[in-house]
Amino acid sequence: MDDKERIGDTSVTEMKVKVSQKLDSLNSLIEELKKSSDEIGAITVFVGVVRGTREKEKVLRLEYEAHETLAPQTTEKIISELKTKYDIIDAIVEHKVGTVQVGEEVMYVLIASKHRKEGRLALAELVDRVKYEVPIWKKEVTEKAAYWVENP
Amino acid sequence: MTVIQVKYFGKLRELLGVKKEEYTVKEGTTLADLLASHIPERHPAVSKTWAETLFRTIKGEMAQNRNGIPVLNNYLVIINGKSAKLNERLKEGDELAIMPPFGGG
Repeated sequence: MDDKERIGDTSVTEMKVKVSQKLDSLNSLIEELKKSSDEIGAITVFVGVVRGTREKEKVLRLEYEAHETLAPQTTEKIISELKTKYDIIDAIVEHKVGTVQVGEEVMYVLIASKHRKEGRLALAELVDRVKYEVPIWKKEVTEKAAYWVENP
Repeated sequence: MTVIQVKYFGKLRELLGVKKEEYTVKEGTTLADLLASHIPERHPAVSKTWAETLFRTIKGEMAQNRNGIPVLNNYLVIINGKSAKLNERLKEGDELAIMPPFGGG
């Protein structure tokens, strides 16, 4: 993690994307979004949780790593595209790296919008695109083996 | 000679047992040369797995396109923050990131 200190330099605007060892509290993120505009009528939230099984094998933990600069940059770019596409007001993405235990929360995605409909559409697309387009990797450690998981 | 920095992630970092390396290559060396020769030559114990992981292979031989350039599996190479082609020539000070398929979320 030799580039860790550079994470904060990747965005010229307010940092709405965080890839780090610790997630902020969900409530604080909701409050942050609410403060950004009085036009917000909906905050739509996705919480990713570490599942305890893999095809009947018991999962012990997941180990995540990310490209320290490209992961936040790519996510910022996706958010800015979705702002235009769905006319949402703002979004936050936080993703954990390092070791994450079963049952722990690993990713928060929040969309602030005027109405619920565009919020739901933008949320679905943003969650998918974080999985497929952002340079983050995970190793699943089960009782029997360890696997690098590639999103299909 | 040209000095470049290479970073590995996920499965590749684990395979090579190193996160970052420096390579000194001749002028005109391409990204394909680095991936298909220089890196596996420095890591002979895992060179076969490296080639099979990174490149499309047919019966253990690296597949090539009509220009004689090997074909990557679903791997991505970034040079100085931008997606790179295999026939690209490496330049002094280049920073490469070799990235397996993503698995976030």
